[in-house]
Amino acid sequence: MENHKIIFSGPTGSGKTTAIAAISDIEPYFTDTYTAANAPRRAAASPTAMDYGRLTLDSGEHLHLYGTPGMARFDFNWNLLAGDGLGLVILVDSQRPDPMADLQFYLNVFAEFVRRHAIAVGISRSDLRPSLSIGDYQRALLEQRLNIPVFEVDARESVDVNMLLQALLYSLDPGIEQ
Amino acid sequence: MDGSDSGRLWQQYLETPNRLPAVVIARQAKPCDQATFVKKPLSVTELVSVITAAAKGARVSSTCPPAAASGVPVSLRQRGISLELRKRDSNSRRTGNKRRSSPGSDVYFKPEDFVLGELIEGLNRARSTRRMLHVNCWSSRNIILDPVRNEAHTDLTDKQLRDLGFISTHCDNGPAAVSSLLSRKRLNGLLNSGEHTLTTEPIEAFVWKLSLYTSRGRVPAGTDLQQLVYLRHWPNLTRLAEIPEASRIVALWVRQPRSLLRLYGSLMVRLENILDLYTVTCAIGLAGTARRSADALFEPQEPQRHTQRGLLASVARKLEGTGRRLLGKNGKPATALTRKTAS
Repeated sequence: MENHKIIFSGPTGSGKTTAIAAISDIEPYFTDTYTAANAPRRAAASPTAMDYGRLTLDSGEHLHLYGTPGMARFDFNWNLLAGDGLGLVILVDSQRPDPMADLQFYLNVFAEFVRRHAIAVGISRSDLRPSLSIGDYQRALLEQRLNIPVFEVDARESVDVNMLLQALLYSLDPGIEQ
Repeated sequence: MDGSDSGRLWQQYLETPNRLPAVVIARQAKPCDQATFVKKPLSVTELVSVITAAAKGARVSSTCPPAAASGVPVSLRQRGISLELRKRDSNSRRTGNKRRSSPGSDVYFKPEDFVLGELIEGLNRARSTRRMLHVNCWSSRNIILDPVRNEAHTDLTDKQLRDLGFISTHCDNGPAAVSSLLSRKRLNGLLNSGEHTLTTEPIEAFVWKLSLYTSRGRVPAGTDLQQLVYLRHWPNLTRLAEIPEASRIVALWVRQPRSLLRLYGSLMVRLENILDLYTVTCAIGLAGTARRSADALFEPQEPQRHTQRGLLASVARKLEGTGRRLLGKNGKPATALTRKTAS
């Protein structure tokens, strides 16, 4: 059961917690240690440990959804958490000062995982006149030989999160049929 | 058709009344006006794809693709959006948005016969001159494309836009759409006049939608279904009109250039969905014919079976079900989920 999991990662306020809540079958768990320090105003209470949600499959198995803490000082345990997970979703807040640098930071942190597994990138808050287009992200990723799904997402919309996860799954194996 | 008596066999076939569609397989190019030609060597998957396509009426050939129409703008030709078209009932609105389903129906269309062709050509002109494109439809409706700000403004309803995808620009009642270039000042005048209620969306989303309404399971005439085609990167699928199975198709196609028939043979999704996806990605400049010699060096790989394919399929089913369940009447989620609680 260990590897039936998908990891959501990204900076504080990028929508990891909301995305997990949007698709989880259970009431998501949020660790109860919060801090307002170093967090932007929108995410005044930022979890310092992980989020957890779950999907129950038709086979009775569970797919676990983990969200890493947004604070970079906890990055030591992110790769540990990712482990043999099925895939990684990186959410990037397009309204932060340098979203491309944010994306690069998470690609570097998960470099080992990215080499062996599938990843998908969600660009959140892109309705608010983002400085970069999806094409800009794609060009930067292609330079690193990463041809991966990059979608605009509203983490509150389960349809968006679903589509991002489906792209992640098909990246792993386009031959899977529903 | 490599044997010494191949000529005789071919003649015999041509003289057969009510003959079935044929696929000619040979090492060297053969005349293929009456059949689909496939060059050896070919894989079983490819053969199955070719036979299926032939049965559906698609003409595929590596030696005699339908010729490009004369007078077609080069920019369109480069994108593969401007080639010969077999005659079809493009004027008829009675066909609605139904998919082609009858065997033998056409898989090609000629974009320049539709507003789509006019729009893409105009957009290229607007980009090169850094001006705005104004397309006047039926003398009363407007499409304005602003390539500088990447915005498409229109007062067409979705239904009207869908209709526009059907209507030939060469109808008897005069052109359905007339395009012209606008200056920024003129555009601002139009936008601020209050005469029109315009909705705005990114150009990519608008062109994708109009291409999809025009394509209806077809590709631009002259597209060779056997030739390698590339997809530069994943389209922004969450903000583009839905094409069934798009994620699956893209996930395989984006790995390396492959032919549309090969894609079909590998995934066995509806051919119409693959053709639609090719047409719309061409229209937004993400796809095209692979012309680099390096593209042909490596045989496209079949998707490797993931060790946990069963689990992945189960998750995909779950997500698909959840997505549908939450969709409301307008394709928007019926309710916002509010389960988030912080303890």
